[in-house]
Amino acid sequence: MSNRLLVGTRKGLFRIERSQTGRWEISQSWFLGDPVSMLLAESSGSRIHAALDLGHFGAKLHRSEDGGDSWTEAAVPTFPAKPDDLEDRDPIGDIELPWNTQMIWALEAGGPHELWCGVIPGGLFRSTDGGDHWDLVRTLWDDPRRRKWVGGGFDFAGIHSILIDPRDPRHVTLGVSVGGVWSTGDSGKHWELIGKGLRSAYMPPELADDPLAQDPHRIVHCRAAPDRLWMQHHNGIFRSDDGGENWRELTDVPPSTFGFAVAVHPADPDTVWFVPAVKDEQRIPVDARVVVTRSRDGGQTFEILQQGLPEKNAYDLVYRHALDIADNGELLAFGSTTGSLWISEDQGDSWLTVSEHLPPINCVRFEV
Amino acid sequence: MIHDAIPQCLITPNDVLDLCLVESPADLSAPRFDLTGLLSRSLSFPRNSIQFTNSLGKSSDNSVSMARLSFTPNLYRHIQTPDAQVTGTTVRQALDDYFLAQPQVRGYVLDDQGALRKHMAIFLNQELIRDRTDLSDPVVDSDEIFVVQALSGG
Repeated sequence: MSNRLLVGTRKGLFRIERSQTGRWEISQSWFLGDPVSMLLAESSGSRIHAALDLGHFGAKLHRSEDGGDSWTEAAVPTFPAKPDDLEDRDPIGDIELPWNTQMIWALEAGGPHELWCGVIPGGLFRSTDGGDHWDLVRTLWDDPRRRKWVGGGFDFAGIHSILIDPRDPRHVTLGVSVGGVWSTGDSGKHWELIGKGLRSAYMPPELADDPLAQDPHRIVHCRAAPDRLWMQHHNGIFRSDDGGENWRELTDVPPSTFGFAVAVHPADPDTVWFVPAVKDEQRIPVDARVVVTRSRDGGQTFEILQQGLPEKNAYDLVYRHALDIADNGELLAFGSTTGSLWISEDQGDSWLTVSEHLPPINCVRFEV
Repeated sequence: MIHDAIPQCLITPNDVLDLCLVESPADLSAPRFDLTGLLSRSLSFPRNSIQFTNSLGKSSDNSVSMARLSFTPNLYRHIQTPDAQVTGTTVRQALDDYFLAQPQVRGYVLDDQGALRKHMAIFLNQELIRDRTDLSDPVVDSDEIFVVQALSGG
């Protein structure tokens, strides 16, 4: 069983460890004071990547080869020179799109030495040497449909979900906020915009089902059944059984279908968890009670899990990368913008409070 | 090239060419900011200055346009930015000269397109540079270039 969790926060990176007495406690911290926007612990166990969002000084990547004992600054994905005559603006804000990596928002390991990185403002980068060099995936960036992506919570669009097919690492699926679901079968040489059945209530009715106008907040897939995808969308919960080509909306999910985070059991595609909030214009827990919703039957029914979670006066919001499930399918963890962190050792039936005093939490990931 | 990092390094033909291309001062009608006080306070921080000699064995040479480049102490927590004497006839060239020996500093100061990061500022002899995109402000011998954070808020 994994007994270590990494937590990226607005003010540093933390390691949480399970002690021999069964308590989960903060054991190490790095980059204190610096925002950690994303992290990746490779399955080898010793290699950890931490993406920093240093604001004035830009996005940075640091890497440890020894499980966090030492860190070195690594190459950052950067955009090539923007052609002088190119008109590239965010369509909604009509703001000139900066060809600059503003924030690293997704980081995943693919084939041997292969890494994928999604950033705001919408760039996808690939490394084939473990992160020493990065290349912008021009096939996607230069696709004219990319210029129709728009910012959601940020000024510009971003790639937050990168799903690598465990059967074939050349098959990669992306979630873009706001720009829909994209898929490649050849490591990014060609891209397909998919996502039939998704619905965006915030668009004019005639554009509501446009795949390009969709705002997935987070997409995950089941490792044992990678064609089963789950999505927390801006305005609902969706399920796909064919790798994201077609989606079905699930509407009967009390207390709310709004949220950001979703996790699926690595071996059971029908078991899935969400952390709901009221709605887009009121991003707090319903009735100020923190709950997790879980389905064990593919979304036909959901139950509300709340044992160990605050029952009143709680205003925690859980971001899209702040819920994770361990490889064993038993351990779950989630952290909030209020700096609360909870862990469950029984698939969410009950929750242990690790801390209520961490900085706002951006992302959590179990170490192998 | 950065002479403090590479003792006895050679002055290349390009360096000489640069000398011939020292620009005349550009239009001075644009608004300038007098931030002498801020600069002098900033410069009062302890600095990890390094003495150097160039290939001629001189710390400065009238035939070579060399400026002094230093950075805000705010950067020290993230990356080492030792002061240096740099060559170049524009701020861009002076910075590029520095980045030859300190390539990782580049991303902290400039964005992906090579423009000055939004919340950074560069003073050239106590005045803000005017060209934040191309960094074309002319640099002449003995100029002082200071890279700072454009802090805002309270």
